[in-house]
Amino acid sequence: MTQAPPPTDAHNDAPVTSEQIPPRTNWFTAARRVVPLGLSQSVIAVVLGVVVCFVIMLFVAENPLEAFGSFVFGTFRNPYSIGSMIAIATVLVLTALAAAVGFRAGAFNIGAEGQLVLGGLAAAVVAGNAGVQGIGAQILALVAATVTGALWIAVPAVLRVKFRTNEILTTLMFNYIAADLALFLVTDFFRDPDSGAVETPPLDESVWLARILPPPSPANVGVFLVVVIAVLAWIFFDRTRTGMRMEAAGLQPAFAEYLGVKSGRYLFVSLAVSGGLAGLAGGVAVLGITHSYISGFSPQYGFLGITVALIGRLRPLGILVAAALYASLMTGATAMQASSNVPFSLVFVLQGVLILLITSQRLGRSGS
Amino acid sequence: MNVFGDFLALTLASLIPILAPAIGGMFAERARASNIALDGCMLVAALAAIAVAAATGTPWLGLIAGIVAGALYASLLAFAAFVLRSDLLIAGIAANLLATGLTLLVVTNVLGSTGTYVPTGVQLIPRIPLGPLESIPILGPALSGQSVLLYITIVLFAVGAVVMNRTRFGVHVKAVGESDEAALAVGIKPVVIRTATLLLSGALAGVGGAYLSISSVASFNSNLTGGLGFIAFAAVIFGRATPLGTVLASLLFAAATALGIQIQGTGTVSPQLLHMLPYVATVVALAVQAIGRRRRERFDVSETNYVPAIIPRG
Repeated sequence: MTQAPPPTDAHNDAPVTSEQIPPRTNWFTAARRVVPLGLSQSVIAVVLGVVVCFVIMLFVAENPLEAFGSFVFGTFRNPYSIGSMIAIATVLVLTALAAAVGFRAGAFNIGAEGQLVLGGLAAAVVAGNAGVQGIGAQILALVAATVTGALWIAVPAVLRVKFRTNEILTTLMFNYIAADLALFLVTDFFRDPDSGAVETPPLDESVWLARILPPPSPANVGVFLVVVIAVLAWIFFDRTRTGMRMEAAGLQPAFAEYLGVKSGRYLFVSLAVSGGLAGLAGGVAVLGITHSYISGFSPQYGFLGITVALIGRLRPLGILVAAALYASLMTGATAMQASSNVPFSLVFVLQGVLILLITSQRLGRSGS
Repeated sequence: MNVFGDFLALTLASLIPILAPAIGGMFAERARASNIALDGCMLVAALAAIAVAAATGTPWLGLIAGIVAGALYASLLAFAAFVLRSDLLIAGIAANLLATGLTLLVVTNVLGSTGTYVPTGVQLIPRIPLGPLESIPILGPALSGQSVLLYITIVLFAVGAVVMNRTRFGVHVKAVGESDEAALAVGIKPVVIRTATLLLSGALAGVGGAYLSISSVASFNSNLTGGLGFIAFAAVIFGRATPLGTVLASLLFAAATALGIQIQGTGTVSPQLLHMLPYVATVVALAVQAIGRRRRERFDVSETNYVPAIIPRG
């Protein structure tokens, strides 16, 4: 990669227009400095997003104030909703960390959804057929989910590292391939013959992740696992040499190469870790919430993870907060759907608005 | 009718919602403004088309509404990319998510139906019977009874190919795609051209969306497109954003779709595996392009291989 001499003067040939024109690069590998720039931007985006939701409710809801109340505070009105919030947040933290690891290493893993779906399927199949019971099966299933997720990103990662293929497009396409593949595998091999839905047989209760709240509530021990993982991620990124190198390789690969950091290798490893985390998220969702692989079990956790990672400013501890916040809005939306005429899909509107606002380079930034 | 005639008819019918958005997507792609939100544009346009067609009783007004809605939705994307300065691909993904949420919201709360919107009294876009020409072997039964939109799409494609290769606008699009500095130097404004191509792609995605809701079926739900916009986008990438390549890729993906419908239930090949084909083809196309570019770059030191990355700050 560094065999050619560095053409250092290439940037100086257009001094007049350098203000308006981005550096000359292929659009596919072009500057993607889209990451939130400060806490103020996260706060502005979340507040604006919720305001947009409120305005929509003013138009469509019969009783906007009540609907808005359920949306924002509905989670905290009964213990069951708090339990679902914790369970959803558990999955969101993992997918958000998956996105953040990719972002910080300089690559976009949009394919978390696909890795999550296949990871979930792998967990369900392994947990159902492992031959062991209890905690052993759980660990095996979660490892299988992680490995599946990491394998699923291997092809886009190799293409990105070796040939600089645009990873946004390849991982996005791999989402759809994963959805078709999972549907194919479940219908042709793993389907529960007693069920009308496309799902695997229900898992034995001994392989469920243990509940931490009374039964109907889906909150489970996975939440401790993800807090540990988030803390480890924080230590890794901010307190170790390898983590700093990884980030340097993402920020400025050429510079990292001059320092003797093999940026390609770091990028590949980060993408594999990113895929693994997304796969693990699928495993946690299946073992902890649905207790079998159900086609369409994910309300787009993978894409939600991107939003959460951006709100959390790519920092593991920020992600914990952002995931809890977002999960409470999702549970609130479920409560809102039950108590008013505003549907759950408002969450997708919120998500779209949030991504647009939070990746904006105009917002929350003084000056340019 | 024989099996092959059926297959051709199905292929041509599947071609409409792939080729129409792909033509617009080709312009956007050529100007380096990848419109990944084709799917969202189609969805919004499909809803607008059926709602207007139901309200006015004229499918043509519905078609126009679809085109306008598609272009308006694409303008949101252009706004995000050029005013808010978000990354275009990420903004496109956000726009797709937003389209699902918005259409579902409008269907349940404004149009007042649960999930699927089936208005009464929607007139479909007419289909053209060929009459005596139907006796032509193979082609006759394949073309007979196709929606008018098929012919409109073919005309749009021809016009698009001419505009791309034979007009000033096409040259400007390609210039912007080649190099921003060069385009600016001769007085072409890249942002204006990119916005124009995005609006164009939204409008043409609107044709595809209108086909789905007021020609193919007379109902709407938020899964109506079923990822067709992404297949159209895949056709653009696979066809390398040239008119000929795009139409051939669209035909290939349409044929795969038709084959998937035909073999459903026969149990020879899983329809899910066939459904994957466009996506796999896109990844292969991207890989082949990237490998080719890498080969050329190995002997070319004129351009920096600077790969900018995300910069988290604060």
